[in-house]
Amino acid sequence: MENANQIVKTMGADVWDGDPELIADHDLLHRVQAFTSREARLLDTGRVREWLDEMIHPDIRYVIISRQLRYIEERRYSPPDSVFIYDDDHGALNARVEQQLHPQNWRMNPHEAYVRIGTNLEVTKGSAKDRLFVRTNWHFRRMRRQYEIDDFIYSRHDELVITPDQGFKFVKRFIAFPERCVQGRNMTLFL
Amino acid sequence: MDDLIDTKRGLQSASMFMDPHLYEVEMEKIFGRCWLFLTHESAIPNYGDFVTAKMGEDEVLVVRQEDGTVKAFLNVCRHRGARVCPVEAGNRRAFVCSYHGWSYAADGSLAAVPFEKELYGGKIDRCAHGLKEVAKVDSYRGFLFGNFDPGAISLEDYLGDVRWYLDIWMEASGGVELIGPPARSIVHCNWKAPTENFVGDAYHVGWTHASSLAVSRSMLAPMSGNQMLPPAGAGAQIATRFGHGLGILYDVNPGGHTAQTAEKILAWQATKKDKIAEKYGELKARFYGSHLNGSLFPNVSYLWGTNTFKIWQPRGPSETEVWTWAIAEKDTPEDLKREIYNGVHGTFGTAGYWEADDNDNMESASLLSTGWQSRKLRLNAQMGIGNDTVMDEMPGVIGQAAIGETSYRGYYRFYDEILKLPSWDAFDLNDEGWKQQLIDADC
Repeated sequence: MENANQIVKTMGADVWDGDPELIADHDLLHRVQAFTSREARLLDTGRVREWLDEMIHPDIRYVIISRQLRYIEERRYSPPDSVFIYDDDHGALNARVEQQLHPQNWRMNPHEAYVRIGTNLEVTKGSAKDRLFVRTNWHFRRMRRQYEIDDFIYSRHDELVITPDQGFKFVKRFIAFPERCVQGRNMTLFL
Repeated sequence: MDDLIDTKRGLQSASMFMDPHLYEVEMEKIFGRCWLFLTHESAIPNYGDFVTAKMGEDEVLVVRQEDGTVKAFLNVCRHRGARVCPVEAGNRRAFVCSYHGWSYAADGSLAAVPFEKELYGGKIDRCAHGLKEVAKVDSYRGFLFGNFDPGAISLEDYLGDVRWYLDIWMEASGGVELIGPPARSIVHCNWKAPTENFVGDAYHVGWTHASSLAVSRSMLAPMSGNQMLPPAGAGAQIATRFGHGLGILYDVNPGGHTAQTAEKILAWQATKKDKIAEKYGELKARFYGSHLNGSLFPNVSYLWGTNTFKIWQPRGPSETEVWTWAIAEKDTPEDLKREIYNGVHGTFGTAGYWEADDNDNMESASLLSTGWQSRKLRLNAQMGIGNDTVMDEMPGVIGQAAIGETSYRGYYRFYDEILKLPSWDAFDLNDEGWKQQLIDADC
């Protein structure tokens, strides 16, 4: 099992450890912004099948970790420090989508309501010529049944593939979820 | 308290999920006296290795000692009660409280007090101010448990008959490890609601998890939407002396894992099954290849087959913190171990869709019991009542059907007994009357 530092590198999220050269092409930035906003809109409105089919690359690796609390200066204790809350490929994401849409998914009836608020968009060169690293911050609220309100606040590190038609697909998503103990009951949702 | 549990008829009062007074009694009589899971030995292999754990609502430090033994202490500074160690795991020869800097050695003794001579003038008794030690710590097959009660029976006695079943996956398998650290999340339910579910509720699987079963294409998928019952003889439920119980579904070990992962698990287990049969007998070899869902009283649950290990940490009567690990046989190839791990967290982890299916039931059962009229209702665990029996080849009281509520009844029988027990001194280990209580039960 990888430690957090290793998985951050594997996912390319370490590019944000320094100050990478940000892309200033306004047209490109606008298109990336529109792409991430469309994703939020599809997910907020339950269009998860379209989200997966149209916005997610077949080679997607979708990772959310929770990092165990350790002393900063810890040197002598080396067991893995991260829980992989998500480590999904396309097939695993597809199973989640199927489960969400299944008529006998009692949790989803009545509908859950979602609002995602995204901000702090930054874009830099990706791991290949046709790729971009994108960093965003999110506040995601889930509201369900009569009284349940769950909040999820996190930074998201995505890598996009630029498709031949100058569109995009998400090929990597990495989130180090900042709450060690998740207060929001469960995370059966797409952050 | 007297009418809380009706063992004779398999009924429980709904108030047990909300009553704040009862919760305080549970902390004293159950979490103050029963063996509680701390961690797995593999998490703290070396001198000075430690983890922080929970025993009821008490936070404890579990520390590997220089002589190889393990001690546990309240994670509470003896000066003004602040938390001594703010992290979950690490290696330390000393623990220093961040409030005033009191320092404790790995054995819990008070090692240093800042400006001791100048400020206390030699009047502080260091010996009396070590970290408060948990009275008993013991290990079973690498699983470490603690007990606050110095008069408690031994861990081995406490596990009792259930050891026979635990040994299937903890020993006959060649030994297991918990792949950590644990996932942690909060569920708004009483701690008993999930524990009772895992102790033996195969009934809900086809219905609660209908959608999860349908998409998983797992070996349990035919149960989706209650399309079919497991055939006669497909499983059993077991209740034991101290409330520990389990349910078995024969020959479907990979349980909730996807078809792809299940195939690999079955191929892997096939390489070991003959040796297990030779050493431990055909029955244990069959159980090794079966799916076991169980709970250890009071708040540990496991799924052998779906490779899930959980503790349900109470945080008041209406809130529970869930810790989830993946169980893996130590000798499993690394790539399969990782696949199993992903399977566990994808089903029963914080983002597991089986877990989320369950959350709603546990939360609504707990929260609705706060209703003035609702709390007066009796909850029903009568399925299979009157058919429980004993068998020569399997310890405990047995319900001979894959779906039934024998182990619910066994769990609450002991819950009732421990709440009423004045002390462990009053406990008769040799009293077999508990079996008759379950066998004679009828609605």
